[in-house]
Amino acid sequence: MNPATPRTTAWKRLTEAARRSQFEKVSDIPAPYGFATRVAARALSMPPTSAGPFFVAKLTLRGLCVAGLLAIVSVTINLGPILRNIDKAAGDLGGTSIEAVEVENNTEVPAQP
Amino acid sequence: MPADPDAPFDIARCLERVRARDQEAARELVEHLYPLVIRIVRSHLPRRVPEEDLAQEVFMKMFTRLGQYQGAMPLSHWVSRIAVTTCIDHLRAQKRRPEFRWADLSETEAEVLDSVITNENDVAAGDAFAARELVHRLLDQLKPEDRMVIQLLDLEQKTLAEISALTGWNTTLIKVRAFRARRKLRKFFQELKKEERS
Repeated sequence: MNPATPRTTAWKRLTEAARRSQFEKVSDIPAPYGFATRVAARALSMPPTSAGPFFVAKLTLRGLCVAGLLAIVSVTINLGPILRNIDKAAGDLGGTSIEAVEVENNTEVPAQP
Repeated sequence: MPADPDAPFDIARCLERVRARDQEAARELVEHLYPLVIRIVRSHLPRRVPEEDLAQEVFMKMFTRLGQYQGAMPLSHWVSRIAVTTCIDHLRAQKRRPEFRWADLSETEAEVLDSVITNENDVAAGDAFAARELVHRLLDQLKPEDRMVIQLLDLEQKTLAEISALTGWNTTLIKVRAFRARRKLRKFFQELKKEERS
């Protein structure tokens, strides 16, 4: 065993010493008086829950993960066309803005041939 | 007719009765599982949380989720996992971990720490309780999951398979957590050694 690991050094020595203090055996300790009755009464006073909502929740979470994954994949695949569309839209907007500035300055927009 | 106290506990029958809202069966189930739950709770008890409150919380979760228990694993394993996760949740909730300082140690604890760091003297048998306190102070410095793994491995000397059954974590994850915890402890001991020399 590697002597540099803490199992063989300070940590091991400390845990070996600590284990000597584990004299109490809890396996024979019964529940405190009235504990089991109190817990049982409280537990059964609550409405019973079925496995249904748990599975629905699990499915919902799984569905959310799949939807997220699909969204990422579709954005990755369509990134090129999306960027081209953005460029095109930006170009169109640029033209509009020049016209708008010209209108604002009361300059005549040259007639389209 | 009262049940024979020497007869083995029939878990399947008891669960059936609990599902039929039999309070007596629920009480018997709590009494049967109490030693298992209290052992886990006492070993991993977060500071300032009374053990009875924590045990009660574990049992309440058990009854709430009983509808999800399909019998794929022994009931004791299933309840152990609930107990372990409840303890981890409480440890996580303690956001601030108490700082470990030489000045906060009792005289005996400081002697024990000094002897394990310097490796000069063996820890006296009478100092076992102080050693245990020290171990818990050091474990408080770790992340709850790492602490749980290192405590089960090094203090309770459980095997990887036993820890896996108890926590539901696979063996690779347990090894990773143990490695991380030991690395942190090693670093911590080095710092303490430096502090002690200065």
